[in-house]
Amino acid sequence: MSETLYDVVVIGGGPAGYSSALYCARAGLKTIVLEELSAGGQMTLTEVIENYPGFEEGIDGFTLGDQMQQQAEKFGAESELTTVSSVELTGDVKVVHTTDAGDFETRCVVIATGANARQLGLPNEAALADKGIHYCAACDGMRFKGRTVALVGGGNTALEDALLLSRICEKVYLIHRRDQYRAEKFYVDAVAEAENVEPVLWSVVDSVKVEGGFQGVTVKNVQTGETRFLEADALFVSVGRVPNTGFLNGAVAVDGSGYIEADETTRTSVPGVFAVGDIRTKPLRQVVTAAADGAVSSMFAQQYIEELKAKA
Amino acid sequence: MGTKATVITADNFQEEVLNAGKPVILDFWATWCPHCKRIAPSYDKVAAEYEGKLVVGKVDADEEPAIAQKFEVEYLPTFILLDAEGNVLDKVVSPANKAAIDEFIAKNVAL
Repeated sequence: MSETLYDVVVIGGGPAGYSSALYCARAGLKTIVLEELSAGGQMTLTEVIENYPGFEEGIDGFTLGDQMQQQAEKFGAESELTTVSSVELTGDVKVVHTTDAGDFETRCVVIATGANARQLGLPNEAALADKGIHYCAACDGMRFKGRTVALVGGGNTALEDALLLSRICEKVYLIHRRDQYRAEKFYVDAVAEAENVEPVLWSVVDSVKVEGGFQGVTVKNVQTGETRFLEADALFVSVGRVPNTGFLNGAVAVDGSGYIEADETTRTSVPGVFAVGDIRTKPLRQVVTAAADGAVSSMFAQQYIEELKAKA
Repeated sequence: MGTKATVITADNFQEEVLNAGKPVILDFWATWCPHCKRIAPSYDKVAAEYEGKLVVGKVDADEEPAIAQKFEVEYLPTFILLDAEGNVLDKVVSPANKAAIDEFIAKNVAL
């Protein structure tokens, strides 16, 4: 057990986590960020971030994440590369357990663990993850340069991914369960103009064929029940995201989709515990809204700590 | 990208990997691969923690296609463990975090 009592332990080193750490550190709170991978979170899976204000030419997620970390550390925030395994959130001193860096005692916990790609639910999906079934076109698309791939999904991210793959791959099958995409018109129009994207509408993925390597995808038409085999070297899945709350083990209230219930104050159902960024219930999940949450959380963390001290 | 792991190339492969006299772990990565870059800080920690017991090497799969082909690396990042004689013990693709790399090592070699 560490001797140190932190004011704030931030779980997750994406834009929300490091913005929270920046503001908390600048407010004089003893703050540490626990992150299991490089800084930046989901930002690092985007080719170029073009909508974070101040970067006219865009910026890559690694650089932005790294700069956010350095900026927070410049003002005294600490960072530890570790995985959080569980938490004890009741009480005035909360404990964050990690797999390999011991326990962290703290007055406040800021949860900034974001979300991960939703899986399709195919029986062999876990075994094929990153080995034929892929969840990040910007990450793995290059692996299939000049080849044929399939992609399933119909939202903004899915169509953006389809466009990215269309620039790398020979051909892209775009599988969607309805005849109209949920994505904005900008993306729908661009996909319609991409000659090597073949829409496979009213269809869902039935199974994938793997025989000495990835062979292709069998899709099922939801209207007729007919199946069709699409020869492809990979299946990209872009069907939404799931929040990373497993380590919480039900310690804070979540909504029906699993996102942590918190309003604009970022306060959760547990006093002294805040949820920032994509993990929080919110209408728009973007780098800029994640960063905003981080700033707001520091204000209410300070308020909570003042109340604790007044109580003591 | 600065790394604490040993950079393995065709030039030092024989010396650093085959003649190491101890088990070796190799991380096959590429500059365009975000999953490779995200796990890199964890791998640096592995390099520091296993120093002296395990050769912790990195292979840029684009720069060293012959080594990648020799080990039949298909996806990135792929981590491959070799015994002290240079035989392949096991491989894992895209481990989730450092704990997963530790588990992969512990499962295959007694250090």
